[in-house]
Amino acid sequence: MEVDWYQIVQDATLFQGDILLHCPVFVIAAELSWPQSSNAPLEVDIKDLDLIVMTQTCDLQNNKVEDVLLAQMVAWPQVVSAEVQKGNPSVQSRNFRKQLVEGNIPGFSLLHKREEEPSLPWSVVDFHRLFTLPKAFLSRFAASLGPRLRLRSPYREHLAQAFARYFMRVGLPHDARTFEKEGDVKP
Amino acid sequence: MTLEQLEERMMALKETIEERVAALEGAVEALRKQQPHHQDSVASNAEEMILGTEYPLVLSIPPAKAHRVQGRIRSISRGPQDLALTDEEWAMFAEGEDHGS
Repeated sequence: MEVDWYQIVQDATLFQGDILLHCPVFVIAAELSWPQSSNAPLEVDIKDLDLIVMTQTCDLQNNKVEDVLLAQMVAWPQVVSAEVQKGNPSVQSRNFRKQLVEGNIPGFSLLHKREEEPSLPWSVVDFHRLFTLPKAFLSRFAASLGPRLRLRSPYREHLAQAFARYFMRVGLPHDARTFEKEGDVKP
Repeated sequence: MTLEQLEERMMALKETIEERVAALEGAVEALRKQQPHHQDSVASNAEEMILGTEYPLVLSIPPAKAHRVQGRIRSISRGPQDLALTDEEWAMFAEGEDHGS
């Protein structure tokens, strides 16, 4: 079955669900103190990240925002490699993949692979790692990429919903987990 | 100039001043009527706004103070390729464990 979650674009427009590979993110040094004297150079680390646009398309199209919210996405083979190296073999479990497919892990959303060019391996969007970049900068960067992927509807909305669920979640000090055992009553 | 001529001149001036004052009062009254009307229309527009509906409104508050400083690139590197999960969270995904969220 042909699966295509993506359309291919090649321009400066930005939509929610646009994938921007190898995008620079400018990070100030964690140890920076403020205020600084005006002539002291500000040290910046540049991170090369694969990002996906999270700002809503209507806000981008109607110039409601000057900065664009982006989430990091990582290729699944890289995730497995990095986590196994860190000593987390659970990343290789079928259970973990099943939970990712079902969208049951808050903070993550699975992106389908794409075989044709521009290709994409199975990837995971990580909502724990969010960034903003100026829209004008990002538009120029997007235009420089050549053919790139944009999530089609309703996959785009599915991603936005996963982000909303993650961001609106409420942790309870005492959950009802004992119901798993205590709810096993005989009729 | 005779006294009679002077009286006529004074009367003419008085009439002119009265006419001008009347005209000015009319103009001031007209301006006053316009002023509350404008405020009412703003207030009624605000009252007509429907909660939860999107309007083409963007608050544009400039930052209190902007600093422009010299930057120095300290490093350029590929970002992390792992997932932002703690070891405790990873432990919940052990094979076979029925974990719901």
